[in-house]
Parts: sequence; structure tokens; C-alpha cells
Amino acid sequence: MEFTWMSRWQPHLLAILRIIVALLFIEHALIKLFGFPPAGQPGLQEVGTLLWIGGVIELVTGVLVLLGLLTRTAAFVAAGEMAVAYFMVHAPRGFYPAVNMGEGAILFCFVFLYIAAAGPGAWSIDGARTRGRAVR
Amino acid sequence: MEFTWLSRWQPQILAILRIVAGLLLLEHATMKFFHFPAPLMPGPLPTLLIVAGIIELVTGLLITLGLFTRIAAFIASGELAAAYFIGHFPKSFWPGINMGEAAILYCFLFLYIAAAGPGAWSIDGARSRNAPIR
Repeated sequence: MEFTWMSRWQPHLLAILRIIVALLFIEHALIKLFGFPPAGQPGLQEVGTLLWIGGVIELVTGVLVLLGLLTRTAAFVAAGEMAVAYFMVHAPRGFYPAVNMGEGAILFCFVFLYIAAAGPGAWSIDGARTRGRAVR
Repeated sequence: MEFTWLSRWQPQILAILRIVAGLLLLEHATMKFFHFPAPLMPGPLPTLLIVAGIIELVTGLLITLGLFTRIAAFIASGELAAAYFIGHFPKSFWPGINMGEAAILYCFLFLYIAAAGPGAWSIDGARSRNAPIR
């Protein structure tokens, strides 16, 4: 009944989740700021618009979470941005996430909130810095 | 520099994440079988999607309730990996275009839950708390 053989890999799986989520988040930034990949929605944004600012937040927090640098703070900011995105863009289109297309935003929001609480897991700059301090 | 005030709520936030993801997974099952909140596609479902919907219904319920959480999350993770490579990956390499972003997020999130367990507020947790008393 017990299914615990994976639990010894929890920090590494958290790091893999963190890296995957950050890379997907950066993809949203690249679509908005650089129009890459080309057919991505909502496409290249004008500098200074709300979606462009969203793209900047996604790029900065995405890179920080990816590297595991200032992970908790960056993830908290990203979670907040996704909550705003959900209620501004998706919630007006319909209550159900399957209809309003906001499923990704919800998942990003709660995963980042969890990372803000749990920290980066394995393989992070934060972790390397903390270990460095303990040696000194 | 330190941002640790949320860390005392880690089990509760993991439970919220688990419940939100479980309910969102259930929504995919209800779309397939009950056309709620909207039908997935017109016409009858292909067999493969019926199997996928059954997996989503059962594992989504178990994950939401936190019952056999780790096994259910492991199976759901595998189903979403299959869904990504069968349903989304052939359309494009980029998740922003092949619409497979949610599938990737589910897959790795459930894999993590399979390792981390259910967090707070779960039937598994209530059962194991009772177990030493008996």
C-alpha cells in the first residue's frame, strides 16, 4: 500500500518541476517580448503595454526561478502576476477554466506559490550560496 | 534577503496545490463524459480518450481527496506524459503552440506529488495518524 520509493528523490523532483515551470514561463515572456516562437499567442507586444510589462515580469522571475536564485521571492512575484492575469484576462470569459482558457495560469499561480513556500529544492544557486556560507 | 515567512505553511500550500490540480484534472474528465462545462469535441469519443477520461476521473478524485495520493499522482503523471506525446507533441515542438503546456505542468506536478505525498488535509494523512493509535 505504501508508495514511498520516490520520496528520497523529492528535492530533485521539486527542482525538475521548478526548472520545467520556469522554462514554460520564460516561453510566455519570449512570445510577448520577442515574438518567439512565431505563432505563439498573444504574439509580440508593444513596449510599455500591460502585456509587455507582464512579459518583463515573466522573463525576470522565470530566469530567477530557473536558476534558483532568490527563488522564493521570485516565485512569489510570479504567482501574484499569474493571479492578476487570471482575473484580468481569463475569469471574465467564463467561470470554468476549461472555457476561459485560464488553466495554465491557475497551475502556474499555485505551483509558484508552493515554490515560494518550499524553496528551490536541489540544484539551485540559493542552495549553493547557503552551503558556501555554512563552510565559512 | 530571506523570504521564509511562507515556509511554515508549506504543507497547507501543497494541499491547496494538490486540490486545485486535482479539480482541474477532474474537469477534463467531466468534459469528456458529461460535456460539462463544455464538450471536449463533437461526436463520440475515441476509445483512447475514453480510457484517458477514466484515468482522469479516478486519479483526479483520489488526488483531490488525498486518498492513495502518491500512487494516483504517479498514474496521472504517466497519463499526462502519454497525452503530451500522443496529442500535443506532433503538432509542434513548442508548448506555446502545441497547446500542451497544461499537460507538461500536470505531468511534473503530479510526479512531484508522487514523491512528496499529499501535504495537509488528506485522507491518507488522517489514516496514518490513526494507525499508530490502533
